[in-house]
Amino acid sequence: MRTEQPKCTARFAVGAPGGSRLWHRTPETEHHLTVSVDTEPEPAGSKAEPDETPGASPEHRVRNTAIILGVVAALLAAMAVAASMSREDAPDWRGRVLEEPEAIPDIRLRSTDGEPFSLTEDTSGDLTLLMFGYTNCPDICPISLGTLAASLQDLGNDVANRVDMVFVTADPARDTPEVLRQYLDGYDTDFIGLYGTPEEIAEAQDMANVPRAQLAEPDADGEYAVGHATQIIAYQDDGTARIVYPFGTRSEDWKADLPRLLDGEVPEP
Amino acid sequence: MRAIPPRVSAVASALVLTVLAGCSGGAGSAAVSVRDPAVGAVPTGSAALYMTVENHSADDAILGASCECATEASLHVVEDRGGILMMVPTDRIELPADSSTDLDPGGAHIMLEGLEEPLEAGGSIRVTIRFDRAPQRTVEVPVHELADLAERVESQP
Repeated sequence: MRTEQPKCTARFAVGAPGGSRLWHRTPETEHHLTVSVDTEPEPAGSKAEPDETPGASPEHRVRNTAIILGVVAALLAAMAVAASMSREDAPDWRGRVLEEPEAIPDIRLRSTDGEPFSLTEDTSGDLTLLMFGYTNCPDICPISLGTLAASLQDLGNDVANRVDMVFVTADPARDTPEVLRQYLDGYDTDFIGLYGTPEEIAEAQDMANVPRAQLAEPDADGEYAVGHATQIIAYQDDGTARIVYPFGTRSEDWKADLPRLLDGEVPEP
Repeated sequence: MRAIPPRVSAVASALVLTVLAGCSGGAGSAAVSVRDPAVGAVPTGSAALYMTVENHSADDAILGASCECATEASLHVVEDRGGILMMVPTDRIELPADSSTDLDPGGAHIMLEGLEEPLEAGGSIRVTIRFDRAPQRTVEVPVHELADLAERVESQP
């Protein structure tokens, strides 16, 4: 009685190092691996009793089991490698990804032209960046606005025209619409400046979920500093912020993240 | 159309920084030396001066500064108050003995107020700094692109 050597073939779509003795590359494609091991006979392929086949000896069964376990382990390892590779394919976000996404608040203030401005209705909606600050700010605001402006210029109009940068003054007493407009024009004439009453500004900060700004005691000349939240919040076109950009965000960070956010890529914690 | 102040290549500004830092560093025997001074290319208002001050002697402090480019100069430290950064005026920025003190964005700095003209990247301003013990020094401070100063923020995202 002739017993055919049964054949078990497993194929993997995972490219793995070809060092394993168990695996060899198929002629059809380099990315598919074929594994051939002795195992139970095919029911239709043989009339012999399983015990009589050479492949069914107790020693052979132990060996087959070991080989199959080895193949399974190798397959799992290959899948783990593939999974980690796919994670590395998506670069890390440069901003700070929020644990809980935040909906864009319906902040209603006035823009530097004196007209009412709604953060939800009067932005183009592709990507809205929101920051609170003040024009006498010597340190945080110039670096934040200057870095973003330079990044948008480097990225070009295709990107820049789809980004609404909204700067809300936390110092409405000194930042008149004219002062605010002149200040922002020094960075980017497309930057949107918003102002309102102190109460409206405070409410806007609450709605944006940032701590309220504080006004320091005036000095002898009546000048005072304003402490304020420094992050820039990024709301995507679905009206959701999933990432914020803390003070110190570099131009290379903006240039890496802005196109991805505009493409609708979703930052996940 | 986007109006942005003219950019100067990073290489050029780095070169200027190196040369000027070499000048301002002064004699190696000085009790206090200033490294990597920088100010941002701000269009209006006020500007912060950043630098690293090395004190090779006993405890000292920065007491003040002056610049022809500004009506006033004052000293500030920055405090984090529950998520907001608050600039707080101070009489002195301490320079502990035999140590190096960084004046970096988001931290202690010398603030120039009432700038006479916009600061243009690639240019420089002369600032005189007064110390408690060391003799005052006049430092040539290169004007940097603001985006380049973001690199000096201590806590990057």
